[in-house]
Amino acid sequence: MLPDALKRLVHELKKLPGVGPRGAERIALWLITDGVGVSSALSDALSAAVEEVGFCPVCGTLTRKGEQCPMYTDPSRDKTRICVVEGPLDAVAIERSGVFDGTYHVLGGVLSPLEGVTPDDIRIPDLIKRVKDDSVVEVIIATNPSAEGDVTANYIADELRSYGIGVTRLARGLPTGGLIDYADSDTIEKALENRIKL
Amino acid sequence: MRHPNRQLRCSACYHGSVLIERVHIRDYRNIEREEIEPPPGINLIFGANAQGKTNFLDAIHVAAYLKSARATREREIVRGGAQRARVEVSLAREDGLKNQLSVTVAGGKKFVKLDGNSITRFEDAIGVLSAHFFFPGDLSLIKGDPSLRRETLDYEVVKAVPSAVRPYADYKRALMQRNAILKRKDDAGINGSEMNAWSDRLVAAGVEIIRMRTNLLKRISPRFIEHYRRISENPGKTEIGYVSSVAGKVSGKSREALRGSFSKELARAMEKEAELGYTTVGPHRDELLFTIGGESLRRFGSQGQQRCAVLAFRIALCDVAREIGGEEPVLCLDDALSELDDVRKTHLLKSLEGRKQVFITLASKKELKLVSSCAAKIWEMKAGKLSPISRA
Repeated sequence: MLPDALKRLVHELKKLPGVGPRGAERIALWLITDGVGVSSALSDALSAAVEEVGFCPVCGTLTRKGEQCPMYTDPSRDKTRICVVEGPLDAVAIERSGVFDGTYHVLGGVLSPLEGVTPDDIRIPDLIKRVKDDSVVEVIIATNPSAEGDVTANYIADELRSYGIGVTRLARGLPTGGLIDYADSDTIEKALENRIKL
Repeated sequence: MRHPNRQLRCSACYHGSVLIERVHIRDYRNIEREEIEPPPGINLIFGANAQGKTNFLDAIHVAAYLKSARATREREIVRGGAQRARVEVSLAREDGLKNQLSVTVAGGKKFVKLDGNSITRFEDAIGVLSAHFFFPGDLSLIKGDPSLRRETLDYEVVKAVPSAVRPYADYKRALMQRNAILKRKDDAGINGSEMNAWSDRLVAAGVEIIRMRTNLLKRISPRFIEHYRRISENPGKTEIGYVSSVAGKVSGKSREALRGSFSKELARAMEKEAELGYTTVGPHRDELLFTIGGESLRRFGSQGQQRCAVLAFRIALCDVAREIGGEEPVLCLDDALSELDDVRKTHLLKSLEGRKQVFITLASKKELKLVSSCAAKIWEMKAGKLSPISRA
């Protein structure tokens, strides 16, 4: 039914996360009709992104291909503090808050034997190397508060024990602007556990 | 997200007892259309065989657990020739709260409504009507797989302490992940520290589970023994023991001690587990052991003893629910009297007096005569119709 070129476009769009067959058809049609102006910009942006964006060889954060990330090369940032995160977007979220002036280390996943993810798959050896090379004093583990995130945090803490550095984990509790009566009991339990003195 | 431990989820965190004020049944097995308002106290349902007494209790079971205690397939509960079966209950709680719960089965599918709203997550509706059942044919609590006993106990644990879903979910996840490591067959072998990270998580959650189970059991046990003694013809010394695969005798051990011995057992089992590819010790392998005179009731008990034990256990669970300030469940006993001699029949009925609401079915006129003085109301079931009758 569809012209071949359009069919190919739909076929590729369907592979995008969160896009189903119907959605793919609608997007494809929009791109070649109403959104035709967007299309060429989009295709330029896409090839530029693929061409130019890469991962920092040290931190694993998003940066220009073949370069170390600005967070690592910036001399004013504290290289002796590393914040360990699961994915590159987690680093972006923390960076957006503007309160952390150390460097990042992206694991690229968490330990999950069920999905075949082992310690060797998630850049833990690289982290240990950095701890030695940059005489790190503190590793802040910011993996997600899930079973896998917790276990990964504990595993890393164990691996780093012999280096005699500080290993910390992000606090858990109530979100800012959240309502206590909407919080689940587990969150409240954690918030009580991690309460702070005023 | 689907709850990782579905059968353990219960939204019900109500307090005070629950009362069924009204039951409305449509096309449920042989019951075409019935609507009754049972009073608090003991409701006796008398009738000859195959008139629908058990079906009536089973309909209440559907309202409580959203499934029949007997049919394995949903469509089996729809009356022959009808399109859909429907059970609706109006519930009143001690604190004045009311709930209206309906379960409709049509075309092999279930539709649940709570106070007019459709419920899509069934676990939110399970336990809104909290009830315990005894069906004489079902001795699986004693004779069945150990997992059945664990599940029964765990369900009560979560009802008593809703936050307990957490360690259960945690344990299940850690167990799956740990087993995945054990199943991993590669040359590198098992990474010790990776294994330890998951084992620690397993131990932490597992110890909480063991403690919650044994704490609850400590309350259930004396009640069970008392009820068993009263209703059993042949009362040897009965006990319910918790047989832990990791800690030997659990009672009196601190959290730390339990963690220590769980970890030690895991380490000891390591080699075997690596070969088998799964975790062989932990609360998921623990057993609830019913004994009589020191012997396993499952292996050496007579049918009669086993039946009494199931009955005593169900009544004990209701006692404990009330005791710990939770909800006193409705108790439904199908043909529980026929196996007991006259003295014990009256004992059983006496021990049920003062309970919020009980339904008991019985088939013999003689039985009815004997126990009718305890009843708040007596119903007769005839060809799927219930009608109140006066004291015999």
